[in-house]
Amino acid sequence: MDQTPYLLSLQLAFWTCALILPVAIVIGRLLAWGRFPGKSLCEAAVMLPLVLPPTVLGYYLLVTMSPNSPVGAFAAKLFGGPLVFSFSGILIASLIANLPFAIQPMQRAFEAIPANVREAAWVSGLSNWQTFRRIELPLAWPGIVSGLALTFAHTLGEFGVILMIGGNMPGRTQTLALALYDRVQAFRYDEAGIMAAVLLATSFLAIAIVHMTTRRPVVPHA
Amino acid sequence: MPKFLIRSLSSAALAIGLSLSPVPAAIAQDAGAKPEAKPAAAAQDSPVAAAASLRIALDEIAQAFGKKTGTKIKISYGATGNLVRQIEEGAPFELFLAADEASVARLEKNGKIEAGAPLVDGRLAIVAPKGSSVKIDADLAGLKQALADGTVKHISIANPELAPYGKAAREALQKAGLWDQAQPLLVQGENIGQAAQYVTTGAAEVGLVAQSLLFAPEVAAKVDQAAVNGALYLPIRQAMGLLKNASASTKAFYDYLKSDEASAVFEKNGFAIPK
Repeated sequence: MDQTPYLLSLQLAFWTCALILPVAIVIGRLLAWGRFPGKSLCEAAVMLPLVLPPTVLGYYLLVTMSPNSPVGAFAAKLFGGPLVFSFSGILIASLIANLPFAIQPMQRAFEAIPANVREAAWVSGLSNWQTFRRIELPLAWPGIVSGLALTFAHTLGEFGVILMIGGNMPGRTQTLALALYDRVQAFRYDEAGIMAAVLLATSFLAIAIVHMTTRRPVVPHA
Repeated sequence: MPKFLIRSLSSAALAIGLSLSPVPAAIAQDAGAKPEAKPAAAAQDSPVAAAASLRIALDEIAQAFGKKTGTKIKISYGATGNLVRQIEEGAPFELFLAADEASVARLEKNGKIEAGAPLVDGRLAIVAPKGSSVKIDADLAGLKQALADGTVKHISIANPELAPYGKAAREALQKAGLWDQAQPLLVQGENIGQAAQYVTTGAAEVGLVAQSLLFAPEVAAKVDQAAVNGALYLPIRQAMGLLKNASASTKAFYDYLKSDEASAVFEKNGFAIPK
């Protein structure tokens, strides 16, 4: 059996999770507690990939990343090759498409931390950074794990965007979901069946993790 | 819990650090960690873009070539029109196998191709799942009957704008005088492989697809098929083009495709070899 699409999908999911984690924590925390003008617009922008057809995102990314566009030409110089049809390209697409999946659970988790807990920490002489590390992160971790689990599963399953900007190249941009589509067209239903089962199992597992972590009370009741 | 988080945070930081050096390099090394891959193996990969009509034959040829030379031919199948667009946008393919000659000529004019050659002549086939209400014959008489009887609900073809076999299917339906009745029933596959799949799964009662996809044993057992009368559509001459950045191993594969061994596999799958 050809393992390439499995490895490629795992790499894409790993890098997406690793890169999105700090970004999602910062943005999630900001949206949870921050008060600034245009906050609703920011929240809407972050949630957009959730409802946007993947082909719309794919279209804009394709136009932007194409070496014929100024941005794409600059990126091609930076990355040593055009972003379209490359791993870096689908990684960028994956990061954007996953923003709501990563941020939303983390934002909810930070929101659930009562203000008086943080105030108590400050009064006890903890700095902002210490409060973040010792108080907020431990309390918000179920949301963080949820966000990562959703991001991981969603990355494995992303199809439309990857097909549009990745071009279905084996070993480069042909992720598991694309390989499944490809195998069906090659009449290789046995291989397609295994891929479908793997994707089904990972998605189920991700949802199960989300439920297991969020069921645990975030803050013990006083 | 904080420990777990700090660890994951620091590994994320590490990941960011790595990603500042070009991510693809890091990924390539990740992939290289697979036991059988050697550092040099990456250079041995030949990315090829091929029309979906070639899939069954080309997979076999690429495998035989791989056994012989150790070169891994990595083939992306798609509709010819889509592949042309991707190559024009800079997709890093080294060899392009089209379902027509015009696409190769177009890329040659754009300066993307350094050498081109005719590959095979393809045939359009009419195909139906076994037990379909549509009788199969070269002149589409059975299809005409089924259309008159109203027993056909879906006719599967490839997108005529993107796929030469889709264009040929449209020509055949027009020439047979069936286009007006057939048009509302058309189910368009994005490429010819998908169009064929609509028929083999029984989703469509009949289809007009590349005959070259119908000789695989798992397909042949499920369908009835006949080559469409060649007078109903313009000949489908498929050509290939070696792209300018092609490696030596891709050039070797390009030459191998013209060999008798490759020709035999193409012929086995219903292609004719241009003289």
